[in-house]
Amino acid sequence: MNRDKFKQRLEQEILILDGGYGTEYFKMGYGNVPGEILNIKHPEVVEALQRNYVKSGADIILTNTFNANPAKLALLGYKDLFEKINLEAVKISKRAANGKVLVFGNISSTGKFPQPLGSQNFEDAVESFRKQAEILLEAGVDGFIVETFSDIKELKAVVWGIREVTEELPLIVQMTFESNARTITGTSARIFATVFDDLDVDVIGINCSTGPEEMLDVFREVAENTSKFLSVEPNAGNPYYDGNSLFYKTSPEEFAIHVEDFINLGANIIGGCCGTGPDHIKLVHRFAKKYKPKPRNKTVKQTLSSRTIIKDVTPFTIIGERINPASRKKFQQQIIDGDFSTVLQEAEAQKHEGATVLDINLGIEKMLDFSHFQDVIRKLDKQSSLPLSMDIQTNKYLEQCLREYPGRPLINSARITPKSLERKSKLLKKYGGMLILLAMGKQIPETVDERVQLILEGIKVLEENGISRDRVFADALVLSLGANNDPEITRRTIRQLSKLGIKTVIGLSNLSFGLPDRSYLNGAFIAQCVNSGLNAAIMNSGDNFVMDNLHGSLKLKGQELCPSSKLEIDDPILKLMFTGETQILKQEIEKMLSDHTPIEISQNILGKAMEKVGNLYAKGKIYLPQLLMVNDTTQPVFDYLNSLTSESKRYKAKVVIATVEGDIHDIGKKIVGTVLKSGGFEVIDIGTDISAKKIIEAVKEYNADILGLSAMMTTTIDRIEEIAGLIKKEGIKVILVAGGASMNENLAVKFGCNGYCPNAINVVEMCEKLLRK
Amino acid sequence: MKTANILIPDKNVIMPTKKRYLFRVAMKHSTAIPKALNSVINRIYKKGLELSEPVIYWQDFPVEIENPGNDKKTSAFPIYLIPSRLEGSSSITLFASTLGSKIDQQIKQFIGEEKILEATLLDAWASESVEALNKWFDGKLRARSGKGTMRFSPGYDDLPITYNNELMTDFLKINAIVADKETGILTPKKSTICLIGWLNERGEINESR
Repeated sequence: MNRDKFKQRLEQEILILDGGYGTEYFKMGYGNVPGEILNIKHPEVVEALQRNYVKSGADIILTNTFNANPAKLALLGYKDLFEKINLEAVKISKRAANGKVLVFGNISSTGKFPQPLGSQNFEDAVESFRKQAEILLEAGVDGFIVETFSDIKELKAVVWGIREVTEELPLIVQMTFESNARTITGTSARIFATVFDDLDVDVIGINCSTGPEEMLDVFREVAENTSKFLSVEPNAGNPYYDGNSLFYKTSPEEFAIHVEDFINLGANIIGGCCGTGPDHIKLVHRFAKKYKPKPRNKTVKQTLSSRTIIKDVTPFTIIGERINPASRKKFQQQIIDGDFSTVLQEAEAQKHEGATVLDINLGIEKMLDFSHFQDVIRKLDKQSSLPLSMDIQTNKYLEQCLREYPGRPLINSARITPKSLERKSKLLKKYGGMLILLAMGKQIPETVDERVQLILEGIKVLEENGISRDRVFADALVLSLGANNDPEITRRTIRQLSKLGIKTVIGLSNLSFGLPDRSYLNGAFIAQCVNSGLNAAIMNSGDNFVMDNLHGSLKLKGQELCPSSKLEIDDPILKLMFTGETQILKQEIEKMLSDHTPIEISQNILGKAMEKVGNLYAKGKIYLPQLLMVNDTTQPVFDYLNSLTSESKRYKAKVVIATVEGDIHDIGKKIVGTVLKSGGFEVIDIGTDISAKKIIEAVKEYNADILGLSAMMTTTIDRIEEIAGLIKKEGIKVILVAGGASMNENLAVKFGCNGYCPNAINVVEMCEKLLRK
Repeated sequence: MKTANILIPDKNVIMPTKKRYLFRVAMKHSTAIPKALNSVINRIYKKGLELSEPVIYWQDFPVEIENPGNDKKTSAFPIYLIPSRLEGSSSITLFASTLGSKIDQQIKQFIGEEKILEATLLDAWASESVEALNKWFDGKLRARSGKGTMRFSPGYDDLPITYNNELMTDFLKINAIVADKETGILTPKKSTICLIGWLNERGEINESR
């Protein structure tokens, strides 16, 4: 379906999506077959379900291809059927739709996060999604929906993949959030909404994870931060398994109570996810179709973001300037050598100093290649850095960074020349973000009026290319006082642009270049500029005098920067762990070896520090990427210390973890493993799709104190009961803990587990409690 | 005379829109509703659904042609019980709808616990819920019999509410809903009595949704 027509339809009516598939197959007695394989083995089952959804009032049905990407099918052992499964899915859906409703190609996660959180190469992910989209497109889908993503970078990969295949069809993108409005990878609903607001998608939405009541706040957060159309597909609450059959608690009636709430918040498309069936959709249809879509305030506040941190650009954006090796030979050489330790230290330091954005300039780009840019983006991402300003001159490297960047970046910068504006417009349209527009063409205008005029011309070109002036910072250009330039021209340019409602920025430190008493000059000038309306500065956030002047000037205007959620870390070892630099951490640890034994360091210093990290995660002070990074940074040092001693490290307990047979989900288990390690447990991860027999063997072999089992799928949770039965039968002394999306506390008790772990956050506390019993 | 037909509908037919439910408490359903309040509103909606035991009792009657009076043995519906808005009907469908007594008890309990917000919301929800039930059954009747007159309840225009007792006792002949002889007030409280007049022959009620 043509995108414009689709959008016109969304302006006029609320559309209904279908409901769950996996849970319905389970009800229909096909729970033991991977859902997508039904397209080939039992197409009549898929078609019957989809016909029911059409009958219930769905306007859009989704192809039965949620897990039909090459990576997932390979794990399920059906790699060779990739094309056929996708083709058949579209055929089935089209038969069920019978020309009356739309058929959207459904694509979801590969199950592996792209680097840095997972092992998958980003471009491989793009290619995998591209291939699937190509097949679905050729088979005749009317549009695409990508759903249940929890890694924003993987979601970008799928958008690039689909848009490489077609720019003509509508695209709905949906992420899945916990009830705290964060994905498990730490991205907030607001970050998701603002990032995708720029991108070439038509509808932004959320699905899965929680029921409609819990989803309302998350949905509100998305709605308030995007101008795109909105979609929502809640679960029917949490799954319950009574030992015989699986059911979801939220009845169609209870589900429907919330339909009007979503419409009130601006929903354009409503459907259901896990646990919902045709009866739910029938009631959704009944309530939703009474209304027209609600008009929304579609002005989105400008922000810059990383994966986990979002910053409003007003009232002021402090762009930290120190990731720049200009005049720092050693730093430049480090970058050339692929050593980003200084980059990461500067990133962390500027964050603590109160910068809101980090400018990234890697120096002489001719000495660098793609890998440098890719690495720096990934490392900063893993460090949960501040949002980035990409001060990258070479277009191909800039594009590479934008492609890999999970957040909403600032592009630094564009000159006002046709070529520069065209290039930057293209990048902004494709990758989103904001732009610093220099008040210069081939030369720098000398007068205030000329600079203002030039900026207006530049903005006009950008607007003609679909980039609103809201997304632009005009750089009024600060030139060196030492070269007899008049700073008054800059200040007055700021004032004039500010009066015209244009945001302004300066590169503050240029003012005092080559002069003594730089702080005083910079401090005085920023105060003047703030008074004239300045909105941002690329500056040294470590200069307290300048920072105090800035904050004071803002305060005099009645403005204040939101206090940054600083992570106060006093422990020097912990600080090093957060830099992500294993080598530096190791060097510090080596110094300690003169006063401490390896086991003392491992147990009392590193171990305790890791416990603190685990606590910070449990309290929500840090997010998953930071936790994973600290673990990756520290683990080799633990290994090094262990190699120095025959004495084994003392752990709180030994935990064997596994995903049960038939289930290939890995990420949740790995996160739990990492959290347990950080909490002082020894963790042996025996993998995914592991038979009960092998799990029992591993428990015996490792003499495990705790066995942690994960079952994400509704079709595999009964394996946990099987294993619990074997433990009991063989009289094995082990504490059994279960988790995963399809588990719940009642079920865990029913199966004979000692504990249920709903998420990774409290797993350490729970295991400690169970050990004390 | 026959006793009334009984119809027990699915609960989803009694679900009012949030818009109407909140309109009953003089509130606009908007994004401005604070989260905590919206949560109570939804919780009460759910509570109402859980407690409701919706039933419709109904019966068709030919309209009395001669000897206006109250010869109930003829099974005809007396002229004096027909409001002017239904005049000219050749037959009448009389029905009583109720959500049952659990809702009343819960409202009473809320009031006893000084949970006035909850009580008010449940009361409003239940009123709209009965209306949703009536509307649904009204639709069924019209699908069977055609256009008909407006749906009318005693207490409006020229049919006093005090006739409720007579309509329940002498015509529908049920005791699940009791109308006070003096006041006409129904128990359970979330109950109504309705009449629709018809000019044409009646068909069968399709009891499925």
